[in-house]
Amino acid sequence: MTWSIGEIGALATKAARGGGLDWGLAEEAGYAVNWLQRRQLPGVMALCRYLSWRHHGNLTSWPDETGAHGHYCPITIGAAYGDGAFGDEAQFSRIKTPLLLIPFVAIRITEKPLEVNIGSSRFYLAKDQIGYTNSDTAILGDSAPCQISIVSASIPDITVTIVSDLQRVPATATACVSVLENFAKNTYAPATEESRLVGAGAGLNESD
Amino acid sequence: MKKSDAHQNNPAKITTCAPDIGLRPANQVMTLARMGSFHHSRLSFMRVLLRRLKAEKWQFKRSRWNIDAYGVGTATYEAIGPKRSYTLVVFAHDLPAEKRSDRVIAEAWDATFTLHDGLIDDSDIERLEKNVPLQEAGRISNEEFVLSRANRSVRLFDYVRDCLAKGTQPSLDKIEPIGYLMRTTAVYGSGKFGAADRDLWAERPEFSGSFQPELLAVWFIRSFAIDIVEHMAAAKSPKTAVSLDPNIRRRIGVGNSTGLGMAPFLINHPSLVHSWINARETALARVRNLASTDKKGLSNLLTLIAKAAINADEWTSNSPYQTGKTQALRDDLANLSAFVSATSADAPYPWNRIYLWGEANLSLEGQEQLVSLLLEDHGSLIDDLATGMAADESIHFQIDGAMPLSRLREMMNTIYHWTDKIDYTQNDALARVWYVSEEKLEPRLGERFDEPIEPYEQPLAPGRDAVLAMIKIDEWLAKTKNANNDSVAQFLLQHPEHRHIVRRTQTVSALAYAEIQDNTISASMQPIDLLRCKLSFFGASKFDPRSDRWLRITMYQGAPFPDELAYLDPDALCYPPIVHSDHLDR
Repeated sequence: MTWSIGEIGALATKAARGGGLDWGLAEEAGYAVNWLQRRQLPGVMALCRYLSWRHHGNLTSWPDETGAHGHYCPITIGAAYGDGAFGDEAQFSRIKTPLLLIPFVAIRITEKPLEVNIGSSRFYLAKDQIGYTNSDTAILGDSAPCQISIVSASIPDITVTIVSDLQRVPATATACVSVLENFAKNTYAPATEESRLVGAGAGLNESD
Repeated sequence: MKKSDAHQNNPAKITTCAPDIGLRPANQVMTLARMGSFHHSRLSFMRVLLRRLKAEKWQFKRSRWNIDAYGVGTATYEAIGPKRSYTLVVFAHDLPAEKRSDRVIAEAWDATFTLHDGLIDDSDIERLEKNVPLQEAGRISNEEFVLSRANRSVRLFDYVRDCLAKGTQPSLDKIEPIGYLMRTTAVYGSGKFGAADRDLWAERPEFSGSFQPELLAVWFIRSFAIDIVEHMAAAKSPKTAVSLDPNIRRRIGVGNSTGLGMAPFLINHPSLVHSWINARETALARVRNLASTDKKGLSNLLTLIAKAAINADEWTSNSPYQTGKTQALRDDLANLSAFVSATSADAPYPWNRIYLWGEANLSLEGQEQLVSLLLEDHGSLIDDLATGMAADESIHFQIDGAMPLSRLREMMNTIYHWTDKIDYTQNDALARVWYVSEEKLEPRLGERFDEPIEPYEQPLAPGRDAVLAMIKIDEWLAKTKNANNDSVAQFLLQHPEHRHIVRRTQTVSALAYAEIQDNTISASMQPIDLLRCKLSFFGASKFDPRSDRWLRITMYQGAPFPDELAYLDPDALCYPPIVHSDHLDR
């Protein structure tokens, strides 16, 4: 069983909303998961991990001046970075599930590529190109400081791939899709017999 | 709605020199009442599809028919084009009457369908047979573009089968008001339930525009409905059964039963809605700017008005809302006919003259019918606009965070000026909540102050949300010393709750017809206006509301069948023929 990118993006949006993000940020989560999955990166898994943690996690808001060592939301910080709230070069302490930050860094690519250092992983982002070190497991790091820098050319130890065909979300995402579906359920109103009839607008004579 | 007696016509502003007619302003067009009065036109998507299939000489074939005497089995219909082919795969079922329901919570149907990319082999049919009959509970693949299902019309299917079985033809008087033997209850595309993402086929020329795969599937479903009624008539009485007379057959379209699932689409796709309405308004402006016509031009319009009047006469509904509108339309068409008859072919800018008269003297239903009729005879002038009736919403997704917050505030003031007349402190202005039901994951509309549904509210009230954002922005600007330097990005970092409406504001700012200028959560809002608008762009006719949020429609009534497309003009058949005593005048 595989999924289309479109249905996974829609599911990610609903799951993020069900996981507690405002609608506008939930839409950003949908964008981020789509962006990653199109590049065969584990966006579904990343959002699944993040939302599962967020439920009880020590989340903090920007700028964290409490000294409580909370974690930043990758969607909130990512969206703000994409908006330009921090400039092109920025650094953040303790981004949770930092893979989800990458699609927002990609928004600000101009003529010059960007490099993102996330803990032990490094990403290289240029127009229609992406490269990264480490395996998927390391890419899915739990929480890490992130530094975004402008670079002048490709990085020698990173293999760069050109983004091409539209991908499907593979069967390996099944368990995570189920988790996202459970978060999405938080956005659905429980049905009552009244809402079944009135909410949908169907009358009793519905078959003619 | 404006309406007048034919003898008390309001004077229209009629110009004799070049009038420099522009597009109608958005505040005139983008009200729910007017959008809910739109009629199909030659820019409607099913008309665009048939014109293209005809021009490109597509071939069609019923390549499989493995249906038994009970109407159960499999069939396939192929569309073979210059470069690619598509196959509609049909699974026909024996549905007990008590299970026949149009509601989305139904779990069984008379027939289920999928549109497959290319010609299909038996192994794919085997795969699909395990999934397509389950609809939402099944999965289709990257090789399928559409998933759909349909039920037989209780009012018409058995009647037509029995007539044919006896060797007689069904009565047009019974067929015309209903207009279909089968009624689709959902037509899913664009990646739903595992189907191919739109990106995969959006660049194919045969699918340029909107909803072309879906409407190709629906056109084939119409053929299947005819084939199966004839098949079952023959099974019932092999010795006496006859086929449908082609002229009667053509008056049978395919129905669609639509509930609120479709309603949020227009709000969630502002760029696309703009592309549709902008094309229609541009077409109207082009026609209104024509400096002259001749007697034939006016005569053609009079014929179209007569055909539209027949359509209006056949248009039945038990909905008080629609019944009143349809009656007004009938009166409007009589008055319009009188006005056009009295219009001289020598009059300068004749179409603009007629349009302005209509604006001053017809109901909204009549005005929008007139718009469609004015477009009808000007294909060479406007048909090119159809290619622009598509949009990629993701193009506008990224927020311009560098925009000064004060500039955003000005934009909101301009775009949402119509909210000035709405008092959102009153319950009536906030009465409704758009939500999604847990049961079938479909959009619903509830009562905010009567049901515990507010926590589940979907972001489908741009007016209300814009007002809330403007209040917050005003507070920000008032308390900040250098407010002119503050950016949208800074504001959103502190107020992510307004991110959705900020994105929307920036999206619609350059798209005149992207935003509906009405309160979509007010107590008096009519959800069927949203459905009607979208379905008119599909090309539907005979809108029959069954409540304020559910309606039946007819599609492809009068259109050529696949075996007729090569020699019939689909644009000439979209209104009912004028029946004389001894022949049909097409």
